[in-house]
Amino acid sequence: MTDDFVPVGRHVFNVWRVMRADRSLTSYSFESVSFLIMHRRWAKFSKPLATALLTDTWRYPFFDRATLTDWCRSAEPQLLQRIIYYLVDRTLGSLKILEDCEIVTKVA
Amino acid sequence: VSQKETVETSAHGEDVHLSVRMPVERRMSLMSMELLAPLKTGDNSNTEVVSLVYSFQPETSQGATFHCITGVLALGPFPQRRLHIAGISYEFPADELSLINRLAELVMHFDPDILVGWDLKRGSWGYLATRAASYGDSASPPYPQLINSLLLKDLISVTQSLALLLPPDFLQEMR
Repeated sequence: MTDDFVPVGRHVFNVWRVMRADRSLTSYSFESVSFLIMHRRWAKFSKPLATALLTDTWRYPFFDRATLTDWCRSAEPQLLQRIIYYLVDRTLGSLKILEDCEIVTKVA
Repeated sequence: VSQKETVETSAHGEDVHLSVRMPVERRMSLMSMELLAPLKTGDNSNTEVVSLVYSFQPETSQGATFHCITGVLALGPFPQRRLHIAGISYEFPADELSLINRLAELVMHFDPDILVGWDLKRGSWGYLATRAASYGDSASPPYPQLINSLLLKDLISVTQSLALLLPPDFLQEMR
């Protein structure tokens, strides 16, 4: 479950690998797994569409790294805020997936 | 909190799904982290981390709901007066190195049992460890070990260095 990163005295969970071991799914992308586990649909958007939809107040958790890079370079407060939203969703999403799958509480 | 579903067959022969919420005590704490390192033209493998979000989920007793302590560490371009989501703490370190140091500090503070990331190597702890290692040549302390040593679960290293600092007869007296 670790990729080269081995801190002393702590466990490390690479969540998509954990999910691959735990569930047999067709796709192990964050969006696909979070939908199947949490029943929450998170859309993947292409770059032009993602930018077009920005006027909306809804949150779009999936963007690829190129889109996020563009946003970061643009230095517009609104886009930078989106980056933070995106990271918050992914961070909490990983924990929620582990919680819902009972990975930690599971008694083998 | 877990969801257990049992299927029973009713008198009429149809399946009846009984859903029961079963709270489970979790005795391990988790800390999740995701970061953004913007791409650069040319070398895309190892670029500077500009922002990261961490989330600490403490141990739960029975029946507790999903609860996390979440925070943001962001660099330069992120405006310090705008970005505020309720319930999330914001910090703005001066550069990437102090961002890494701050996160290591937070890990020591929260002391989680499990470190979590969706894709460790590309967007989480593993990436940050690589970035920390890149400071090894220029900076005087051995920063490649920085992440690993600061993420120590127990304070073995601290007690050992304390033993080196103190005079030997002091330790004799303590025994």
